[in-house]
Amino acid sequence: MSSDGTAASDAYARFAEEVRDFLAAELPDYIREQTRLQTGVQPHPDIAKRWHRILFEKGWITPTWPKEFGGLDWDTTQTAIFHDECARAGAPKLPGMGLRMCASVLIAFGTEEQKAHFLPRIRSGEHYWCQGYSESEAGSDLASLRLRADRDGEHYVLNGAKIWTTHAHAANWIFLLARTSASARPQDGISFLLAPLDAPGIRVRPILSMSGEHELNEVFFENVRVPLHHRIGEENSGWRIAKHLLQHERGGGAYAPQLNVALEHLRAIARTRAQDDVLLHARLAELEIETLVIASMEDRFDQLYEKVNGFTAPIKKLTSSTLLQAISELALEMNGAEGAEADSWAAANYLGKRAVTIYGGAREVQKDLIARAALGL
Amino acid sequence: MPDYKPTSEQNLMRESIRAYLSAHAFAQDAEGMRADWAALSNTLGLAGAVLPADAGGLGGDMSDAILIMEELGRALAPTPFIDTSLIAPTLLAAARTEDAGKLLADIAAGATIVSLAHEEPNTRFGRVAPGATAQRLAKGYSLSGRKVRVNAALSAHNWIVSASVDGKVALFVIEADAAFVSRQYEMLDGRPASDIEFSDAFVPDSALLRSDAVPHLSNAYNRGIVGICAEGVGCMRAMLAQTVEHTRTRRQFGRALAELQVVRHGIADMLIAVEKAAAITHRAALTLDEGEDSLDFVAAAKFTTSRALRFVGQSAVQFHGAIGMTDELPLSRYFKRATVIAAQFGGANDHLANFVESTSR
Repeated sequence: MSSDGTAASDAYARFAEEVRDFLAAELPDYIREQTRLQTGVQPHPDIAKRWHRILFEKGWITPTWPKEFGGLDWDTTQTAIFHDECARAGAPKLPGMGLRMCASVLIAFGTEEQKAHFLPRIRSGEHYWCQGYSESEAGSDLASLRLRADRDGEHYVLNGAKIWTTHAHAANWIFLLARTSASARPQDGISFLLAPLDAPGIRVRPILSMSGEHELNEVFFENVRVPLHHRIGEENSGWRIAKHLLQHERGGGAYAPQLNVALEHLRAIARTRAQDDVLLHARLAELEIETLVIASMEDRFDQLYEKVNGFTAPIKKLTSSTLLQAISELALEMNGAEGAEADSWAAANYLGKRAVTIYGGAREVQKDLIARAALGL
Repeated sequence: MPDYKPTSEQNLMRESIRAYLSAHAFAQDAEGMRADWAALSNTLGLAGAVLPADAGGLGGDMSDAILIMEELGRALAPTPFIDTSLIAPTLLAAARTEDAGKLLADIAAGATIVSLAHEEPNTRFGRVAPGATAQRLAKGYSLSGRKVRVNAALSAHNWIVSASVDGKVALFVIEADAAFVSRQYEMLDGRPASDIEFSDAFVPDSALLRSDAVPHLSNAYNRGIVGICAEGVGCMRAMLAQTVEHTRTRRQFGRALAELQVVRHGIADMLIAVEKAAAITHRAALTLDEGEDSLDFVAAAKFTTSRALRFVGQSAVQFHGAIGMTDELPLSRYFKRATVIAAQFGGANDHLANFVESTSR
């Protein structure tokens, strides 16, 4: 290796140590423990908000944003090291609705005023966002959404409902897609709007998951007034923004750190529950291998392809979500009949992980996307 | 982080190999194979591509080797690359004798084919010491034992033979000699293999490469395994491309098969399996280049690729329908090659066991 290469790897090693030192000092034990036991898709909002605040104060909350909005000079390796060390130390993966999704839309499509107003508030955690996409008759087929936004002077008036809205009960802002025109092509009449959740006429109804957790909600809008300047992009251009965002939701992140944490948890269960069971150990080894495979594939894709594209993003999402489910399933089996008790962690985790092949584009939708790339049609 | 980006030289190499292979057919008989190999080496330098420069090679590494093997797999080209250019040089480099140096130079020039004669009915892909023995004589050795499925044994100019000497595994390099071939046959894919049998055969002292060869054999095997995984990836990419082509053009009930969601999802699953195998094979190759302890990555690669070869091959035949069962399309030859690759150097179960062993050390 060249002397440059050695200097670079030394710098990475020092950076990893800096991250580890920070985590050892600043990551509270209760967050570590809650994260270890997390069975839902997202960390509990209280946990997420606290950890967000700690990272914000350290200046590490938005490393991948453009520098002018508070991003850092980290290269992809540093970013990967950071996420990896955080996951290893037991830190939660922060919800992406504000930090990754809404921010990405603002940066790509927002006006200077919108960026100046919203981005600092996302960074600081003052605004906690939820995503208003799905409706009861519109999931991945977003074009059929029906929530109406009718012009009335300087406002839109919103009527309708959003569903499967993660953390709407904890959020104070929602970004949403609404129908602003009944055009011929359904996707041509959609706009991207931002609304505060304390606006008059908004009501949030909790939806409990089968694991007993409250992550999801239904959000009702009755004559809710949203000022025009809370629209991102042109009126009726929401489809383009939605597509941009879906691709980020499906492919932006790295899944390997999360998989490694889940696997570590599974190994711990295997040590106490399945010591002498060679068959369970063979299945554990298969999942160990699959984790190496997916981590390698993720790195390789990130280096060989653009970060956001219609081919690697759905493969990453599909394979890592499938593996997370397989890990949760083996953990359940290692618990034997105890895993059938109502307060079993392994059971709650198994139930909760059903969601990972549904949200953000169900497995079947991901396969459609992959097939389109493979077939060229 | 491992660097997966190909260099511009590698991209060029890939293009020139692909162009050459698409314009040439390959023989499977002994003389034809020698001639093809010499031609490949004269034109593209394949024989010495991953041999060290001081041995007359081009100094390439495993990331070059997988690129070459993937293209050979895609074209279904039978070459002695794995035995001759990946395995033999690793073992010869460990010897550091004058004879070994000369043989390396001949390999690099494409003039010499060397096959490994290591597997026996019970060696379980290198996991069990060979039953073949070499008795030390006053001068030289007396070699006895049987080796199975030696690749292209009759095309080879030399064999590297493993045998137990005083409880250690030793390697000898000897001239290939049809007199030792006890059985000559084809593998499922039509490629030639031989069982060879020695009974008190005299081997001179100068033939001894190493008397403690286990770590070197393991190194050589790792390179061979990753190489054949890459060939498998190329083979799968070809089967996937054929399936895409077939389902796009074959019409049923008034529309192309590729319009049916159940077919589309099957093709998505095939692509995912190929990309997984490609990624872990690439990772294993980079790990070997870095000189890390890499057994778990190599085992992961062969486990994943062996499974993928079965899945992708079976899916390809299934989506072709009855025509996929025939010998009329290239697909049948790819399917048979895929089946051979899945089994050679250990199948999925063997490497799952290897992986468990390496991670529980």
